[in-house]
Amino acid sequence: MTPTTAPAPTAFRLRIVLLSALMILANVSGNFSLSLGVKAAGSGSHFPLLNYLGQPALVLGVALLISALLVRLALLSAAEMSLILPLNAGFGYILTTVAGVVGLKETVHSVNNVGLALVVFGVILIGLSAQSRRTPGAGR
Amino acid sequence: MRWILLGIVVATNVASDGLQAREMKRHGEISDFRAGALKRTFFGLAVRPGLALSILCMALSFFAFIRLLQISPLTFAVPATAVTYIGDAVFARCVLRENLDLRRWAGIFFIAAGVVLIGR
Repeated sequence: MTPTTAPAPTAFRLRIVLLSALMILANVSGNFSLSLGVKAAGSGSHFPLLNYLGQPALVLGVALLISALLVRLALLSAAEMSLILPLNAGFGYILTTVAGVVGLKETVHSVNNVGLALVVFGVILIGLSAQSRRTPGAGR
Repeated sequence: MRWILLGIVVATNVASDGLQAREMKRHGEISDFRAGALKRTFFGLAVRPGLALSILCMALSFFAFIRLLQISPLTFAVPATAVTYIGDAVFARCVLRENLDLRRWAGIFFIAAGVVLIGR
């Protein structure tokens, strides 16, 4: 039997789950850090870029977002685009909303809650569609 | 003007996502995550024109989105860009020949609809 580059289905799924979690965390924390950095930099200078560069939170945010992009490339090399992008975006919206409500004490209106419920339902549906396919090379 | 900008945001976003997906499929799955292997992969990917073009599209999309935010309210800009998810799905089906079943289409539409409501 010739060696194959396709890993076993279980390892394949575990890797995708781990990379997805890493990407979502990097993305959400990157955006959060970016937001903190921009607010801390203020707008008092004629050279806002210099202000931004001096903000560790902002630099950290950019570094986290670049990391998220690199992890996303690794994910796209392993799984279908139509699975990875909406799933990660959906989880990202859910986590960002939770972070806003819990961390920043933001108010969420009922229409936003309905939107969040739709996103959660969409994520579940996409997850179920992925669950029904167990072929290791899905994405080729 | 805002509809033109919205079109640019969505088109460049879909092009960026699609080009990244296509290039990464051509590259093959990244399965070695040791530092040396990752470095080789990174430099190998950096010279791919498709990926460079995808980063350019991403930058264009970002600046078009910033311009869109300047001339229209956030409650229009964020929900409207949810069309990107549908565009990505169409790209995946038509260009990458991915097999999207009914549940996945429905999931994508629900997420797009949810984003529209979250942005309200």
